[in-house]
Amino acid sequence: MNKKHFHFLLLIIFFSCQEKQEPQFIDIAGESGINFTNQLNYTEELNPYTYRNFYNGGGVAIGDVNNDGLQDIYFTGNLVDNKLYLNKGNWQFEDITVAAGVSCSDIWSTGATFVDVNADGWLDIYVCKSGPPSGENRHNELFINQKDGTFLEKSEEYGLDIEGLSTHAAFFDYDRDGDLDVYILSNSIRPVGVTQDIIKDRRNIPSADNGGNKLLRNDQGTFVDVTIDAGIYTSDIGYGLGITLGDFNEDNWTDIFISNDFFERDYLYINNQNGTFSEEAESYFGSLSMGSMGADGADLDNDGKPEIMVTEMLPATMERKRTKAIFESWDKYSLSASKGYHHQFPRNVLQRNTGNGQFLEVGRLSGVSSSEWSWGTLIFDLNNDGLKDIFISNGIYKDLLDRDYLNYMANAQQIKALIDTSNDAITKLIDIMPSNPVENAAFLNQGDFNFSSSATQLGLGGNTFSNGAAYGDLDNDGDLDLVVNNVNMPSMVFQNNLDTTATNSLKIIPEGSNENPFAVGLKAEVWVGNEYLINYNYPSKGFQSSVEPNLHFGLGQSDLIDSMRVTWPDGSAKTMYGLDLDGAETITIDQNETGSSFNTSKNQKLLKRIALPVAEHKENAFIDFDRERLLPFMYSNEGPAVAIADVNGDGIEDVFLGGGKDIAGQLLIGKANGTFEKTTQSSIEASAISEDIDAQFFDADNDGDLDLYVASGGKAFSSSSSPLNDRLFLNDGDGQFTQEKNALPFLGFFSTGTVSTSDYDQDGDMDLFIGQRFDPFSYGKGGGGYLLENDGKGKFSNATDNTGSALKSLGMITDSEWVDLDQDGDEDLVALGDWEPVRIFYNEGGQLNESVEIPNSRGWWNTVHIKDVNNDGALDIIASNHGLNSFFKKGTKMYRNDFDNNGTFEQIFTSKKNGKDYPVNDRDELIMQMPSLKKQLIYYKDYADKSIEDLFERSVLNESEIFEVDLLETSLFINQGREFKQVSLPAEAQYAPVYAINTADINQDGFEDLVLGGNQFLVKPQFGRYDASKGLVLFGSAEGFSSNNLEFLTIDGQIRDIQKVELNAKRLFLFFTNNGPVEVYEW
Amino acid sequence: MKRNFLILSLFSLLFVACDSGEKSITIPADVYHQSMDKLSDVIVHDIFSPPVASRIYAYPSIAMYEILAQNNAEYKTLSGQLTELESIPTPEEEVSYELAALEAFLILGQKLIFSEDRIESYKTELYTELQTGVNKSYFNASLVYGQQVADHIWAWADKDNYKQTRTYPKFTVTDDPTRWQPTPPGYFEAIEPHWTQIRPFAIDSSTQFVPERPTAFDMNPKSQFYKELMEVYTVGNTLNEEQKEIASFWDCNPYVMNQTGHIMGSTKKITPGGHWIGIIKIACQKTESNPMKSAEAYALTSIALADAFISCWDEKFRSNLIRPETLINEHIDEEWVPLLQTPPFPEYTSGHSVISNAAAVALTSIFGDDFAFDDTTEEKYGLPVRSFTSFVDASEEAAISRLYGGIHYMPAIENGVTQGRALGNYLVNKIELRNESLAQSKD
Repeated sequence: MNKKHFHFLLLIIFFSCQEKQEPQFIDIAGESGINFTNQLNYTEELNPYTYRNFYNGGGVAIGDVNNDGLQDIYFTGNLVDNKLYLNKGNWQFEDITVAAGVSCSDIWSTGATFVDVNADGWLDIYVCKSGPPSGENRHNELFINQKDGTFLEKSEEYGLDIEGLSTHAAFFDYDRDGDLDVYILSNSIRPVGVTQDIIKDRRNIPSADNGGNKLLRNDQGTFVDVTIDAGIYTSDIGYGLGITLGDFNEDNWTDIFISNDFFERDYLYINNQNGTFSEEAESYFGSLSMGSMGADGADLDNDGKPEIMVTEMLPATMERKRTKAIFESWDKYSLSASKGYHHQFPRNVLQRNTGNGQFLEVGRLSGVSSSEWSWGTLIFDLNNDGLKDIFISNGIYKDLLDRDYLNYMANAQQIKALIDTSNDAITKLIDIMPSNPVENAAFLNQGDFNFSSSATQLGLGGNTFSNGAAYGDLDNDGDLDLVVNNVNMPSMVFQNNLDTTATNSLKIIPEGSNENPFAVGLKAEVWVGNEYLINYNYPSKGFQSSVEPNLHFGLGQSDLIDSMRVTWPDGSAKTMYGLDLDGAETITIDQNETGSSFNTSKNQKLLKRIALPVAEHKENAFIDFDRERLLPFMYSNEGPAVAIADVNGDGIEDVFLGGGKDIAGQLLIGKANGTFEKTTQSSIEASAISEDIDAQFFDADNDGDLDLYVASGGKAFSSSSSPLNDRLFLNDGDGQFTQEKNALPFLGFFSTGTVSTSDYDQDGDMDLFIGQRFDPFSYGKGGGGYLLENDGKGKFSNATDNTGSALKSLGMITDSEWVDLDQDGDEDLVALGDWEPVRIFYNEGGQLNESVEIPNSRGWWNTVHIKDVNNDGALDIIASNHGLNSFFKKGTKMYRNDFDNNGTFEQIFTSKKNGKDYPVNDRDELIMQMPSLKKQLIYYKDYADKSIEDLFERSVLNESEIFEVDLLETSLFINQGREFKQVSLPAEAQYAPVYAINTADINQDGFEDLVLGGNQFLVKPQFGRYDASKGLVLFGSAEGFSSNNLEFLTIDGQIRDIQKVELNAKRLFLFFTNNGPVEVYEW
Repeated sequence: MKRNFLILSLFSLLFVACDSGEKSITIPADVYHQSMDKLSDVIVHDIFSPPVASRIYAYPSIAMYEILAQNNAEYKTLSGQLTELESIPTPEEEVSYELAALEAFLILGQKLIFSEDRIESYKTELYTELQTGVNKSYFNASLVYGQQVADHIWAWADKDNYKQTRTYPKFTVTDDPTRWQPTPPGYFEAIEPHWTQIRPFAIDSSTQFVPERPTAFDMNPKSQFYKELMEVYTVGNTLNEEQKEIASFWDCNPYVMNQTGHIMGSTKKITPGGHWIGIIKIACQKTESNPMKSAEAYALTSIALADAFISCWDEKFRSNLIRPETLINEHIDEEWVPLLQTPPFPEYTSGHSVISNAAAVALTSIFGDDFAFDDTTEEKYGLPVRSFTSFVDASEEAAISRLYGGIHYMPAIENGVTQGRALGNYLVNKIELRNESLAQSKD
């Protein structure tokens, strides 16, 4: 028992290969003796209609079953027998299925796992069973290795003869008692879409027929069901398709991620270290994939924290998206979220682990969100460069979601006609269902969560119907080969022909404890130069598959391992230093040998979240999409308006926090004891009906105290509604505010986007710039900016015509700031907007007559902040934008016109492809808004490749207003005199739309640091909400800002403003969220 | 059987032809019925909602009637009787009114649906038969006239606010417990929330026949509302075979979504209005009505249907009442599924109850009480024939079928019947189709 030891085999294999022209991966199945096709022929009785998971396909297991040092392969089949192929070396395999007794004939096999259940040092085989619920040996089977090339089925003896719809099984030691327990993943038989699916708390109800997911504890060789006691859901809505093990909270205890298909959300079980789990997916993840398929967890950025990649079914091309993808409506999505199904979207997700129980979904930024009907993913180093890559298996034999098929072919009339004329109606119906093989996907990791789609280049392309897949080093040459199980075509065995002279690799063959000889759960960390690599030994992964149970590290050019630490499944660790990889080497480690503890102390966080109750912002419920139906996201949640100043002269800063429509703004007085106290402000409360979008404290009437300007906006108003008018409140000197109704000129009914103050004409009083955001009823309708001149007594007049002629027609303005950019002694105006460039209006003697646009800067700008960040004495512009973690890219346009000539303007967003603009909308959305289009788009296939030019007459397009964005990055514009140089902020700043910027030299290094926050949750499901901003600190340096020098905060919500205050001698950042609390960080 | 009959009737059109051809053409009533069937087929294929479908039936039917009535002294024009309808143009040359009526019907039908080629190819085939032996310029002049009238009617139709309402706000879902919300399995948004703003054909306004208020929402088990909710639940759980048959027979849901796992499918059927259009054909054929009388029946009934939808939808989006399925799933039985898929719009009043009763009144005014018939309308959707002693008999069954189907509470049915009948009676009294003196003398 105590004689645990590891056996390390370090392999460096040098080949002196010629430069090869052929691709890196070559399918050698044909020549290798492997001939496995998961042949699936539908019949009247058994087909995708009668059995939901008909096309889910089989899995692959890789492992050395005869302990000859060569990895063997096991395929599972659904209607065909499973096959076990013995690796004879030299890429020759022998089919020993029948002699071994592991064919599982006439039974629908699914997940395959090589695991040493009886801990005798020989891999056994656990096969999950699913399919129609009949037949012999319908239960999962456990084949115990007899060490002579044969196996005996012993599942009943071990208590592993589970009968149901099992997808997969993963063995691991969850309770650290030394032996292997098992999680058995089930895909519920409960029909989907027949009865009410979206019911709250349904996952709490255990499956009546005991058919749900199971956690079984190994008690001296007998597996005992501990599912419910351990806190595992075992309900009828567990549609499990993937089980992914890993340590997701960095405590060295194994956690479980479960992918659920259909409407049920995924589960993340955090190991409580006491034999129970807590399910915490909703707090760890912002967005989940909807119809989650297979998944994998591994470290993609070499920070030691495993990411999670989950596949879904979103097609990769526009044509297939338009004809085969079905998106939920906003109402359905909202209903599901309100009933506890979290935020699920129909796309792959890549969850970046930033530690502290927080994952950020970066799939859209990484370009891995859509890969067709995907079954599983494997994350491993395809090219030994030290960065793990992503492989995804794809394809379904019949396009079950082809929308023309669903709407026009698979209907009752058609079916009835078939039944009338034939006795094989269902097969005939399936015959006409389209069948299109697609490419598998391979994404090569370029660092910083950038990937290049490289399947074809690598030789992994080719159109197939692929399901389970597993990797392993089949020829012991130091790179990983790949085996893929296919439906209705031969399965593929990809030989990796990586030029191993160019890269080194390390393989760890662990020799584990007596109870866990293959050391499942082992963690190995490797430090090579500046690189830190980590791998876990959890063989069950991907889809229905298990990989070689050894650990593989691509090392790039390095041949010296500075240090290596292995952490045993029981949590004990051993560190070694300075391993020179000059040849194959075996190291044996005794567990009793105490390793020196390796210091990986976490970076000290400089911003500390503190619990200081400030206030809460409330947004009114309003659904923009109900009014402007083609818009992809809402714009009605841009508050709260925030202003900070000492309004009562006590030397402590106070806060104005605006409200949504019908919700009054609040004035919070800072107190000496470090708290804020809400005051009664009847005049402010009387204007609660207005939605507060921006606010400024300034001395309007030159009486020495600070008055309050509140900009009104939002969308929940009619086009001519007086609550849209901005308001000026005068301070009585003690912090009581009263609205001065006649102070402001009437500028028209519109939503204001920004207000900023300056004595731009240097006449001794504060004047105002007001920027129009939009017309509440017609997004995109031209707006402008206004200069309001103060008469010195707090009465303002519209001076735009006289002194601000350049401010007219600026479009939709979102933010502005007055600052002396050209250092000529007067304040210039910087203004930016939605679809607009960053504009500077240099103040020349109180005249703003010229607009200077920063070239190529049309963006979806939200906020501007001015600061000298490079210490050159010139003020730089920091501007926040939509970011890159989005389906919207540079070149996105908006065509605005009354396309169908009915008096209402439509806004059609398009994406650019090969110089043409393609509407981003779903066909049904377009038709709903403009029924006449249906004449052209009767079928979904009619829309597949239509650009906007194909849909509308040239004359109609010519009279459209066209908006375009050419920069979506949140950016820094370095002041170089009257020129500005655009610098994109690091990738982490592009994870979500940013709405708030502040600066401070937090680490006291003499460079300003940036504090950013954002998110936009109100997005149509096909585009998916933006929730990957939790607050971010970018530390400044002489080199600027970088991904290596930042700190993630942990704020949940849509951050709309960040303010610095000093309260009770504490330096605080206040983060204001829309429809949420104010979060406070101390520094 | 029916099919054969239609082919025969086409053969009977083959007059002896000469090059110049005759300046006359006789089109049997069945050609109009067949064309109406074609329109129904395309409406089903293109998936139009029930209110929109009623609009598609009405305009072509009115055009057909107006042209035929021009040439028949017994009948009166609808211009001046229908809101904003002005007199149709008169032909400038000698034309066949029957052909022009057919042409106008098909042109308008084609404009109002989406799959234009389906009507086009039907028309091409039909006209090839019809023009045999007919003088070419006469034939063409008839088509030109049909086009003129179609244009006239289209210009009128174009001002009924249909186009504008396409972009009106979507129905907003809130957390108000009494308010309608999308229902499984498709969770489709509410259909046509602004249909009340469509210009009615003959009623004064969409609010002319506002029904009684629905029972006050109250989830107290002792309340009247709760009792009515439980009635839907218990009746739904204890349906006998005939009740099930009745519910399915009158389902008339143009788009039923079927899902099994990843596979989805759809069942498409004629709309409630489409069902009554089918009944018109049955009545006409049974009475061997000529094209004129058939056109009369189509025009009056389709107007009744269209106005009934406007009136009913006005109420639906006034009361915005939640469907029984939603409440039963939430409060009583989360697995309960109604026999019929709940259609996507508020509950009160029952559309089928309102429009069926309005249609039945209209048809009774033409074909009389106690008009027994076998309803074969749903045969092509795989449903059996049902027999009725009168139109009212059928309309009452259509109404109660919604309780059996599990999609309506009783008041929506009872008050819907009242609403539909009142509207129907108003229409048949208001609209004068016949010159009474002439009609009586000739009958």
